Amino acid sequence: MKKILHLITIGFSIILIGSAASMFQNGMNFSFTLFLELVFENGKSLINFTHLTYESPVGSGVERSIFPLIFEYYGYSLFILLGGFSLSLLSALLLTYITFFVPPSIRIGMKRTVGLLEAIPDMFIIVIVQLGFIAFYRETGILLFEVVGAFKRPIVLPLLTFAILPCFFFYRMMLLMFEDELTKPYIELAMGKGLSRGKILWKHVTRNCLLSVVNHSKAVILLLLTNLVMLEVIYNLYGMTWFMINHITGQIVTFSILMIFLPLYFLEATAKRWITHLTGEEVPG
Amino acid sequence: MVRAFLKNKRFVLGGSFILLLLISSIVYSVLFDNHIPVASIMTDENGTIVGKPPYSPWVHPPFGTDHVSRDLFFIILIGAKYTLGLALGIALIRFVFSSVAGILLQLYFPSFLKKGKPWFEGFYYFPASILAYLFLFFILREDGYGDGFSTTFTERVIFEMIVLIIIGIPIILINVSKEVAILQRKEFIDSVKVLGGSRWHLLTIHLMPYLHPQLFLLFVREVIQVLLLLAHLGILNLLFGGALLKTDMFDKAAFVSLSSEWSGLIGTNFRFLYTSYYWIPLVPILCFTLAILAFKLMVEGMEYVLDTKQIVRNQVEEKGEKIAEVPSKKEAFDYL
Repeated sequence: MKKILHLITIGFSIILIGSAASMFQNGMNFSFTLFLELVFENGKSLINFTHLTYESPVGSGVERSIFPLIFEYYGYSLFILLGGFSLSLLSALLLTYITFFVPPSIRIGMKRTVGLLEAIPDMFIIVIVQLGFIAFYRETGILLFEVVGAFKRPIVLPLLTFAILPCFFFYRMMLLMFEDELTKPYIELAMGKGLSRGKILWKHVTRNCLLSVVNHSKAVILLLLTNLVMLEVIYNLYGMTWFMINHITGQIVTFSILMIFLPLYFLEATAKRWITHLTGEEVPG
Repeated sequence: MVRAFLKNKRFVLGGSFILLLLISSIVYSVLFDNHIPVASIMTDENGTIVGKPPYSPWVHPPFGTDHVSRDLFFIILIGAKYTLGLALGIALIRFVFSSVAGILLQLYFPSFLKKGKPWFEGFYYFPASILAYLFLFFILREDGYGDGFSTTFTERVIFEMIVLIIIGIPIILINVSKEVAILQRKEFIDSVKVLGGSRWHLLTIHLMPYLHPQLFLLFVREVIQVLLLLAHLGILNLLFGGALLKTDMFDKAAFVSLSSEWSGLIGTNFRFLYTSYYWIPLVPILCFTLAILAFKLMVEGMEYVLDTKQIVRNQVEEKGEKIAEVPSKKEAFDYL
C-alpha cells in the first residue's frame, strides 16, 4: 500500500513538472491559474490517453494519433536502456575481477583513471565512436555493424556506445566497494578456511556489491536516461526520447516520461526486494 | 581546508587550467576587443593555390578554421569566458539557494522534508536536457521563426538562466539535506543537544566545519552538471539566449549564436559532423570535455584530501586522548 502511494506521488509529480515546463508555449507569461489549467488538462489527456495526438509532418498542422506507432519507439528505447544496463553491469563486473588479479600499484592507477573517464561527457563518447567507426569503414571497407538510423533501428552499435559510460560508472563504484568489502573480517575468515580468491570474490563480495548498485539506483537511472537522449539525438535513432524531442508538447513529454518511469520503477522495486532477500540488508528508500 | 586542497596536485592542476582559460579569455577581450583572425588562401611562392579554407587542425594548428575561415582557436578562446562564466554563475545560484533551503529544512522541518521527498523524485526520471528543452524551445526557437522574437535578448537570457537554475535545485536540495542528515547522526551532536545548544548554534559552530568542504565539493560537481546540460542544449540546437537569423554564404537562412559561446558553436555547426569538415563541431565538444575533466580533476583531488584528512584527524584525536589522560586522584571520588 505504501509502495502504491509512493508510485502515485512520483507519477503525479511528473505530471506537475511536465505542466510547469509546458507553461511557456505561447510566450513568457507566468500565472498560477495557467499552471492549474495545464495540470488539469494534462491529467485529463492522460486519463484518456488513447486520444493523444502528434503533429506529422511537423509544421503541417495534421494531427495523428500516437498509437500504435509509439510502441515501436517505446520498445526500441526500452531495449536499448535495459540491454545497455545489463551489458555495462556485466562488463564492469568482468573488469573488476580482472583488476583484482593484477598488482595493487596498477589497481590504484586504474582507479584514478576511471575516476576521470567517468566524467567524460556522453556526447563526446558518442561522437567519437561514430567518427571512429566511419573512419574505420573508410580505411578498410569493412562495415562491422549496421549504422543506418531512423526506421531501420540498428542494434549493435548503439548498444555498445550506450554501454560505455555506465560501464565506467559501475566499474568505479565496484572498485571502491570491492576494496571496502575486502577489508571486512569475514573475508579473512574465508581466506583462513582456504577458499580461493576467485571464489570469495564471486560468491560473497559480488553479492554485497550489487547492493550498492541498487542503493545508487536513482543516480544510475538519471545517468542512463540522459545518456539515452544524447544517443538517440546524435545517432538519429527513432526511440522514445527522439520522439519527445521532435514532437515536443507538454502532453507527449509527460506521457512518454510516465511510460518510461513505470517499468523502471517496478524494476527498481523488484531489485530492492531481491537484494534484501539475498543479503538481508534493508535498502534505504 | 582550502590550503589543504591547494597542496593537492590534482586539484591545483584542474583549477589552474580553468583559471588560465578564464583569465586569458578575459585578457584577450580587453586587449584585442574579441578580434577573430581570418585565414587567407594559401599560396606557394609561384602564386598557385595550395590550400583553401576551411583548414583542418593539421594544416592550421591548433584547431583549424571554421567554414567561413575564421580561426577556431580564437573563437573558442573568446567563448570560454561566456560558457565558463555561465556555468559557474548558474551553479553558484543553484547551489546557494538549495543549500540554504536544504540545511534549514533538514534542521528545522525534517518531517516535512521526509514527506515532501517523493514529490521531488519525479526529477530523477526527467532527464534535465528534455526538461530544459521543453521549457525553452518555444521562447528560444519557435518564437524566432517568421518575424523574429517577441522578446528582447536580455529577457530571454534572464528567462533561460532562471529555468536552468530552477530545474537543478530539487536534486541538490535533497543531496545537501542528506549530507546534513549524515552529520546529525554523529555522536557529538547528541551531547550538544543535551547541553542545551540551539539548532542555530549547532549549525554554525558544530556542523559548519564538517559541511564546508562537503558543500564546496557539491558546488564543483554542480558546475560539471551545468556544463553538461549546456552542451546537451547545444546539441539539441538551443542556442543560449536564442539566436540571430542570418544568411550564410549561400544565402540560406542560418541561426547564428550571438557570441561565440561553446554550446552555440556545437549547435550551429553540428551539421558539419558527418562531412569532411568534422572538426568544426568536434572542437567545441572537445573543449567542453576538457573543461569538464578539469573540474572533475578538482573533485578527485578534493575527495582524496577529505578522505585522508579525516583519517589524519582521527589519528590525532586518538593520540591526543592518550596524552591528555588525566591520572585520576583518589580524593576526587567519594566511595560509598
